[in-house]
Amino acid sequence: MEKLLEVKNLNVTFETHGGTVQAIRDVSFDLHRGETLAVVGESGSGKSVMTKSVMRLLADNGNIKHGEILYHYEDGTIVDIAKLRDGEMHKIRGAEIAMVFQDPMTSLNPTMTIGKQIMEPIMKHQNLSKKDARQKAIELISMVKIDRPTKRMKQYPHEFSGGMRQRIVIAVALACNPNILICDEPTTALDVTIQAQIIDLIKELQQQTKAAVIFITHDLGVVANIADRVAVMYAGKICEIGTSSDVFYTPAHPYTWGLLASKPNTDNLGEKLYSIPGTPPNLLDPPKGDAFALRSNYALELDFEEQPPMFKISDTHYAATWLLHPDAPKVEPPKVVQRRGAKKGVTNNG
Amino acid sequence: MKKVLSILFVLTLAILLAGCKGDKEISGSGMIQDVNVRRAISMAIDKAYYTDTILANESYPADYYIPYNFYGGIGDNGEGVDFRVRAEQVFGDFLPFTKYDMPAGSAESQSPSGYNHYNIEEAKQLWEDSRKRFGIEKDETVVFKMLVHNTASWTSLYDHVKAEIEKNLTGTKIKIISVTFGEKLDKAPTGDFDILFSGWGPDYMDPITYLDLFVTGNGHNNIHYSNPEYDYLINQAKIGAFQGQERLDAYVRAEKILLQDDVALLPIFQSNSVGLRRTQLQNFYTQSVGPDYILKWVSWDTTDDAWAAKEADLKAARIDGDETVLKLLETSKIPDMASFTTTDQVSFYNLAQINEGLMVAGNPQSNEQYLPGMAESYTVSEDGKVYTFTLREDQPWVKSDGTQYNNEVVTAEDFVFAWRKLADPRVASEYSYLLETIGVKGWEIAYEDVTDMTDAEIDTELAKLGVEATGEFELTVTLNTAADYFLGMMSFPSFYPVNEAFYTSLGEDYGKTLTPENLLYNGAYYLSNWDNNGHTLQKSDLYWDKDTVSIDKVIYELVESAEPEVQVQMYLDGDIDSVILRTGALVETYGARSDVRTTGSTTAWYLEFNINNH
Amino acid sequence: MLRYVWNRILMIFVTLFLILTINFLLLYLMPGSPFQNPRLTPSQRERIEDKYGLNDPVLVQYGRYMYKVSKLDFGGTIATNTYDDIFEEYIIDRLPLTAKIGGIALIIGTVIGITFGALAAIRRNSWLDNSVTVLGVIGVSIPSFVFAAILQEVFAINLDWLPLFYREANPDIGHSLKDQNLGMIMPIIALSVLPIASIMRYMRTELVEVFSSDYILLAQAKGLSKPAVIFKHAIRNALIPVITIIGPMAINLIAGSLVIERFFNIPGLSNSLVTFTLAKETYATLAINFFYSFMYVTVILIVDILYGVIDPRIRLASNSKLGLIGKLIKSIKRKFQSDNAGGEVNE
Repeated sequence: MEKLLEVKNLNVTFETHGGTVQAIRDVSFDLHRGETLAVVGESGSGKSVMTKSVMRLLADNGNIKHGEILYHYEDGTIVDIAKLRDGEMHKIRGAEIAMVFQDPMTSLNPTMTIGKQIMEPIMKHQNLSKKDARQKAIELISMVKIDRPTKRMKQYPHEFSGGMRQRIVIAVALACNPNILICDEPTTALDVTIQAQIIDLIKELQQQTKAAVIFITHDLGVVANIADRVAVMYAGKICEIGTSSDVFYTPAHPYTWGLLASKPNTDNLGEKLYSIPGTPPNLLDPPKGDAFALRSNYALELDFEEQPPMFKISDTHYAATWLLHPDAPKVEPPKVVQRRGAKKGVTNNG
Repeated sequence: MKKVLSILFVLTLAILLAGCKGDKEISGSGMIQDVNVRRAISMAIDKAYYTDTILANESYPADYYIPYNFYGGIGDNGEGVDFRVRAEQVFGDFLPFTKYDMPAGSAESQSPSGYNHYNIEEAKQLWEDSRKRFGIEKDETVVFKMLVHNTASWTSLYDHVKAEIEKNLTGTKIKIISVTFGEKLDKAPTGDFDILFSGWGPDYMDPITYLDLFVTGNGHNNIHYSNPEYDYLINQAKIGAFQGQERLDAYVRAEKILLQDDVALLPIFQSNSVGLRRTQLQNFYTQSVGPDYILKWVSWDTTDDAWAAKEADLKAARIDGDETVLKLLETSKIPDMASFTTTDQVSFYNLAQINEGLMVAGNPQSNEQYLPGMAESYTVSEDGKVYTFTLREDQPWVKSDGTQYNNEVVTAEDFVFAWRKLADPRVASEYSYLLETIGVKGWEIAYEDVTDMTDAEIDTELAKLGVEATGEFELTVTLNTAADYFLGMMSFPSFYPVNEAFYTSLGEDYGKTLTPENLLYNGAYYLSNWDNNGHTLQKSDLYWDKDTVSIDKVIYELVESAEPEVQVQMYLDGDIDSVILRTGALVETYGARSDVRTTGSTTAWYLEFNINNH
Repeated sequence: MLRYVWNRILMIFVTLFLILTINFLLLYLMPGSPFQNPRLTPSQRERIEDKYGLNDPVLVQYGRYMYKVSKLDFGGTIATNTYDDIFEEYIIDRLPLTAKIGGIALIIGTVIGITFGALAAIRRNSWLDNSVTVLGVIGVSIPSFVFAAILQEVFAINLDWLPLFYREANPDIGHSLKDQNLGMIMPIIALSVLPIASIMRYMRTELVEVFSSDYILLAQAKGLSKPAVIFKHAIRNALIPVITIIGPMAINLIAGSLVIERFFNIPGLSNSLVTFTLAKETYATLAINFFYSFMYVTVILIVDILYGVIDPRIRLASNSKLGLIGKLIKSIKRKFQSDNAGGEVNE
């Protein structure tokens, strides 16, 4: 598969009054053309910061300390986004990489018509005349399945519901046929019924446009629905990455176990839901060893001393836990997780 | 927050209680009726400290009521005599008191003598004796209520008086009741005070203007003071029972009764002011009665020697070819130029320049208090009650463009019309009380309830007023009682003539603010400009005595509420030709300049004791 | 909307009526008399007050006054015949100068305040931002007459560049039009300090908030350049709340002009209010108070309507081609329809 984006050893810090927050710590991953990568993690795990780094939309006090974000243009040229000048970055944003934000209620400019907001990136990146841009904008509105698009052009965001607004944001994002669409928890702020509609829309549009999607969420249920691959983030690091089935059915990291165990599903129906004890570590002063060790029932002594490297489980599946070290004691994942694995076996067999 | 407040409250209460611990406060309103208590208080106050250190504007500390520099009457040689000089001649040997040093530079080296001079020992003695006599216990504090008005510039005086009395007379407390000026006017007649702060300036050039206040039953006698001998002296003087020297001596005796025998008043000081004024200005002197200056007499010294080289620009600006200009500061706008309704000093001052009454205030350099103005001459009846004025026949009514109005000249009818307006109950002029003061026959109409009368009936009543045109240019005034300050009062603006035809053409708009065209002029000047930024007086070429008038144009710049420092700056910049140094600091800074001038005033400032023996 | 405006106007009348009533009672309760001549004896004063009906029962006086006001006669001065009709001869006469100086100060304050507030927000934590913050605090906390005194001291007395006071042009007495205009500079500056400081601080805060909003992030994500983001998206949204404080600011200016007009000798509207009040000139004080109150409520109404024009969430009509009346009618129709239909269904 063709690589589209390579993130290598990315480190992002924020300067605050309390000190330096190490929000992203040595993160690496690839994104392939046309695939959907879900990034999962608790709030504060660094998933949003990571995508904003890719867009170079970090707040003023945020810095990409080191690492590379390589973007592969269609013609084969490769640029390092981390080092791009602002002017060149403006050409990538919106045109190559676009973004959908969490809260549709606040992500549209309240004093600008919907039409204008959609036309803006079109006119900026595609050099279309105003008339053509208008035409394109109307098409986009229909594309995100909103009726009476011509009328909608003249309306303001406050005349739209949350779901409609998120459709508009998606239309804005897709306006210039980007290669990467970053969706930062696009359904979190929406009603459950509308969540599904939006996810279906994203899926459908992705098939139409062949864009790669980075889908950020803390909701594993959504992930299963949409993702080709899943990256699990904890305390500014990716602790496990693999295909959807890798992560869902044969998870290797205790944190992933915890996440899966705490999610209600048919397997743990009627049981008391598991919750991961403790709170995430303070990233002002991250722990020396495995950041999850303190909260983990499966922590080894070594976990407190040294950070585990990424162990390769299969060609697609990696996880950062000492449990995967050949010398590590054999540990059984929680029952719920085992049941999942078994289920997969059943499906495979069937 | 609530907690903090309540703690503060408790603390304050505790401190207050601690302060009063053992001290019982008793009212001093009984004690104030004792003459020795009043004398103790009078002697306990260091007035010179107030005038020299606090005010520092060369005001005089005063142990007397009628001010220094005020003429008391005609002396043996027929000239005006300073009342205080006469008082000293009469009682000088009797008064064993130290005099105050007068400000350096003044002609006198010592102040006029007076009564109850500052003397701590005697004050203490008198006070202790009185305490015993009244049976005041050691731990009791006598509280005197002092009613004052809350003008900021006076607070230092109140504080000084309070501090001096409380310091020098053990076991006293002065409770200052500070109210607005208007409120004080309401409150003083109720008698709810022990000590009252007051000031009085003269209405006319006779000591009666001061002394009359404390005659039994006078409307201004807020302390309800009554002394039969005092009343006799004043009432007899008023009806002309005493003449010449005799009368002056009667006043001197009356003042002694008031201050020495009864200690009804505690005089504090006679206010003066220090200012800067162009050294080249001549005859620019303050009048002790009436308007501050009479511009008719003022002139520039045009000789080259008078002007320093660096003043060349100024000279060119002031003496521009044929035209001489005087520039002055006005700190308050002219409210109302209708002579029979206006009430304030600024309006009176300006009316005195643009209109003229039967008499005109005299040249300050001469001893004459007043000279014939519109009246060329006059005769008085035997009993002194009927005055007949012969008016000059050549004074035109002038419009605000300097030309004559309808070929009209000032006639006796113009006076009759104006006086009737002053008395007219429908006009309800505040200054109608002056008719009562001079005792014009029939003044009572001014205060009559005329709600049920028709206009014609009122006019009939007004016609009975003691002012009559007995000829086109002959005016007869009939008084209830003889009063020889009557002539002096004739230079006061309320008695100026008004042209009836002109008034009728304007009605209520006559003399209204900012309308120079709504006035007619018969004085040395007319208003050629009057707007929100000031006004200009232009010399009138139709004035009968125009040859005496020297300054062609007087420009008043109106700057309301300018800081004293800024006013001085205007003088230094050459914007104005005279300025008053209103703060001690300014006097200190500029006091040594060659153009410093001290201006006397005949306003007396004093405390009244609530005797209440009437 | 029409109903809303109508209600508001009705409220204005009620407010003004209450203001007038309360003011009348307060002035009535204020001790003293307009006849403050110490020469008058108490009985003389009382007789004169009787003439003017000042000793009548308060309800009678109030009724008489309100009846006159209902005929738009606000009365004049009592103790002097300076003004027969305070409204015509004083307010109308003097309003233009007060309005001119206040208006210029407000415009200057708004333009400079918005500009520097915006610059500070854009260059956050720079020296410019820090200066704006410090100057803003100084500007709102130091009263305008202190600035006036400093200006006078520096520019009129020490440097002698500007005249000490405002002087109306009058060639007869040597005051040129140039002097008049120069004389307005210092009062305008002194008056504009407060609006500059307040609007600057407000603009900065608002813009910083807008910058941290999601729609700015979205605008950036569209690939817009920084100027485009600032001008097309941020400024306008930050301006909406700023506009709401300009109205009250205009009122503050009126209060400020009370002092400044006296300080610079400007024959404006505010100059004599204090004098009238102290002189217990009830009708003159009431008339000016009434006028200020009227201005206040009107300005607030205008700002509310203006707010609606700028902010589409408040703006009602969707068709910009309709006139104001058309918009109103359409909006009423819409409201009517949506009330019946239970709201527009968007999804």
